[in-house]
Order: sequence, then structure tokens, then C-alpha cells
Amino acid sequence: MRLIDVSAALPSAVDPAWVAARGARRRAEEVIGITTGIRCAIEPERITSPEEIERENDLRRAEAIADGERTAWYVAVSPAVPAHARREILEASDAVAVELVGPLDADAPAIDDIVAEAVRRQLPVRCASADVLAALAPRHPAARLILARLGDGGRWHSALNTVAPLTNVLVDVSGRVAERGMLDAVLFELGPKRVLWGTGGAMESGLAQLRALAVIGPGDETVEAIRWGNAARVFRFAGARPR
Amino acid sequence: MSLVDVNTFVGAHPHRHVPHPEAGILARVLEREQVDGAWVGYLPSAFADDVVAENDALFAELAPHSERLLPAPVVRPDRPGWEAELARCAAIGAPVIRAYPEHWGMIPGDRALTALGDACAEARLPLVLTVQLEDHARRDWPGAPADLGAAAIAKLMRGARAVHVVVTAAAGPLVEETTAMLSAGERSRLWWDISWIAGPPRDDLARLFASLGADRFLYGSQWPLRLTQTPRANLDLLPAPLRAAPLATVEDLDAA
Repeated sequence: MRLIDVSAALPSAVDPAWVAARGARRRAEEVIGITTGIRCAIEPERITSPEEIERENDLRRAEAIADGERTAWYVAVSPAVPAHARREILEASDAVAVELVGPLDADAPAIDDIVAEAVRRQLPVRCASADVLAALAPRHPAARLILARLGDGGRWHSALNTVAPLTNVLVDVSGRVAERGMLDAVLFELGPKRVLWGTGGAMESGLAQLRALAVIGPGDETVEAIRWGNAARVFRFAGARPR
Repeated sequence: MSLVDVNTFVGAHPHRHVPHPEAGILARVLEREQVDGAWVGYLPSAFADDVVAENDALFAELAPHSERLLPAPVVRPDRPGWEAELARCAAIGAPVIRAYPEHWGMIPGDRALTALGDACAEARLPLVLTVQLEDHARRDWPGAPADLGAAAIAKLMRGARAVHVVVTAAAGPLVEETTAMLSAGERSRLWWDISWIAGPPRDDLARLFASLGADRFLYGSQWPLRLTQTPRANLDLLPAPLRAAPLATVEDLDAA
């Protein structure tokens, strides 16, 4: 069965650990059986300068070209540098979604321009702030928004409660802290069609969540939706409609 | 040789909801995951002033599952009568003692903790420490403890010269930092559980197995706070040559 990792995270392109981390990720992808990984950053909030963002996007694009269907990518854009953000999106014709990086403020004028451009280009927008998404979701009802890294150790209950009523927000459950009960709560609050699986900065947590999903036993259709069906639909991959 | 999860709990967390932290559930989870047994702490006792009653509650909760679930009671060496409580725990058959120096406001090198270490060594009981029960971003209640640090672990190993210590819930950088502070002899009395050590892409677990040896590490999940599937997933994702390396066992602690 296909398995799409919507949070195939690596250190930033300027981090010396990038090469080793990519090798480790490759090894783990083989073991887990990931068929497509969507490249993003472990700590997007730390990617701030235009130069860093360009290097990040260049590297992601090069990986996607080299890997074919195995790697897709989010184009990194920062609302803090608006002109640059627009150019990066325009140049990223093969990216499958937008990742908001750097400091985020839901009231920054540029953030609405970025989301509007993503909607025009039918690209989902991903960020790890439930506050920001709660502000964006009603302003951009046609946008497909993704709450990233719910399992990254913060107050996930509150983040989940914040986005649950926002039907154009999906949740990526990746993260380095696989808390018991989180997956059950996400399924209960959102239903199976708004849940995305990923590994983020801790691939063992992603694998553990897959195994926990098998124990929860929500049914084949739900498992298929979480493993790949929802991601294929949201990111408009080939064969998007689950059987 | 049996596989024992050295980092589990029962009982409620006073500051957040934990689903079904009950001994009966833990016993079933261990069976499902093919884990032979567990050292089981009592979550309320990590936050308690008087731990004796909490230890009694732990012993009672585990009694129906005594073949698989072994109690890891708490002894507070900053409270009167702690020596008697340690003796009682040993007499009941506890295989280890838990301590929470950060929860108790102890600074590195605290003499009471060192005394507990010496007493544990005398009683041939390993001492289990916990770096964190949750990520710091989740620890949002007034007076929440900081993470247990490298200096506190190193000073305990240096001060209590015979104690065997198991540190649970440490991340990879803390293991490296602490190891660098210790002599070979001190390191030989210290083990780590793998519950919070990152796998790929950071690959901290692979790096630590390669540098320190897998036999310095014990199987631990931190159930019910974290998914019980995580440690096995982490081991499955190691590079092939390291995947076969045997972890330390609880029997190794006795033999060392």
C-alpha cells in the first residue's frame, strides 16, 4: 500500500548535518516503506533570511528532480520578506505546497497575499501555528491549510481544539513526541478525512504511530486515507481518489 | 534473558489527562508488544511530598500483576524516615528505586541525593532518575520542574561511588554531555533508557550505539505518557549492523 510522508523533514540546507540526516532518512524510508516524502524543514521557524530560503528551495527542487516520484517538496516562503516570497512561489512550478517559514504573524499583510497566491495555484499551505491557521482559515475559505507537526511536544490538545471547527484545515500528526492518546483524539475530533501522516524530525515516532493506528483498528478505509489517500487528494497526486 | 521496559508508570498525572494509566492495561500492552515485564513507577509520587502513601498505592495497584509488573517506588531522601522507607521497599521486593531531584528542588551534588545513592548501592538496588516526563513546551503549570541536567547526574555518579544508575527519558545530547563528564569507572555504573533518544533523521540513537555501545542502553517506552511502540520502532530503524546489537538487560545491572 502507498505511504505518503507529508512531513519528510530535514535540517535546513545550511546545516552541516544535512547530508548525514538525508542518508539516515533514506535508510528509514526504506524500512518504513514510504513511497513518497514531501520535503520540508525540521525547524522552519529558524529559516529567516532570503539567502537561506533560496538555498533551501534550490536543494529541495534538486532532490525532487533527482528522485522522481519518491520526493516532492514544499516551497519555503517567509511572510516577513513579501517580495521574495512571491518570487519563490512563482519560480516553484513543481512544488506541491507552500511551507511558511521564519517568524509568523497572522496579521502581517504579506501572509494573506501568500495564501491567496497558493489558492490561485491550487497549492496547500502548511504551518505549525494553530493560531495563525485559525486566523487564515476563515479569511481564505478556498485555501487548503495544514497544521504541521502536531506531535512536536507542545500543547497539542489546544491546537487540535483550535483547528477542529475549521473544515479547510487538515492536521499532520508528525512530531518528535508521540504522546499516547494523540492519534485517537485527532481521529475523534477531525474524522478520518482530515488526518495526514508524516514523520517530521523523529521518524521512529512516525513508525510508532503507524503501528498504533493498526492497534486502534479504525478500519481499512480510514487506514488507507491516513497512509496516503488524504495526502494524495490534498496534494493532487496521481491516483488521488482512494479505491 | 528477558526484555523489560524500565520506564513505565501507572496512576494519574496531576497536570494533564493521561488515558487509562492502569496496571491491567499495561499488562495487556506488554503482552501484545511481546515485552516480558516492566519496572513500573507511580506518576502521582513524582509530584508528592509524602511518598509513602503513594508507594502503598503502587504496590496495591501492581499486586494482581506481580509476575510481569515490578514496582519502582520513590524514596525522598530529603524527608525524615527515608532510610526506613528504602528498607521497606527492598523488603517488599522492589527491584529499583526512583528519585526525582528536579521535582524536589535539589541542586547538582545535593548531599541527600548522594546519601540515597550510597544507600541504594548498599541495598543493591539501582537508582532510576527521570530527565523529563513531558517536553518542556508541555510543562506549563506553575512550579513545573526543569529537565534533569548533566551536572546533577555526573555529581551523583561521582559522589555515590558504588550506585548503579538508570537515567530515563534523556535526549541524545544529554547522554553525550554527561558521558563526557565521567570517568570510565563512573560510566560503567550508568545506563540510559532509549525512550527519548532520537532516531532518524537526527540518528542520535545510532550514533550513541556506535560510540558508547548498545550495552549502555535499556529498553524503555515511558508508557502511558508516550506510545509503547516507539522504542521498538526506533530499534527497527537503526542501520543494519547496529540493529543486531543487544541492548543491556536488567540482569546486566545486577551483574555489573
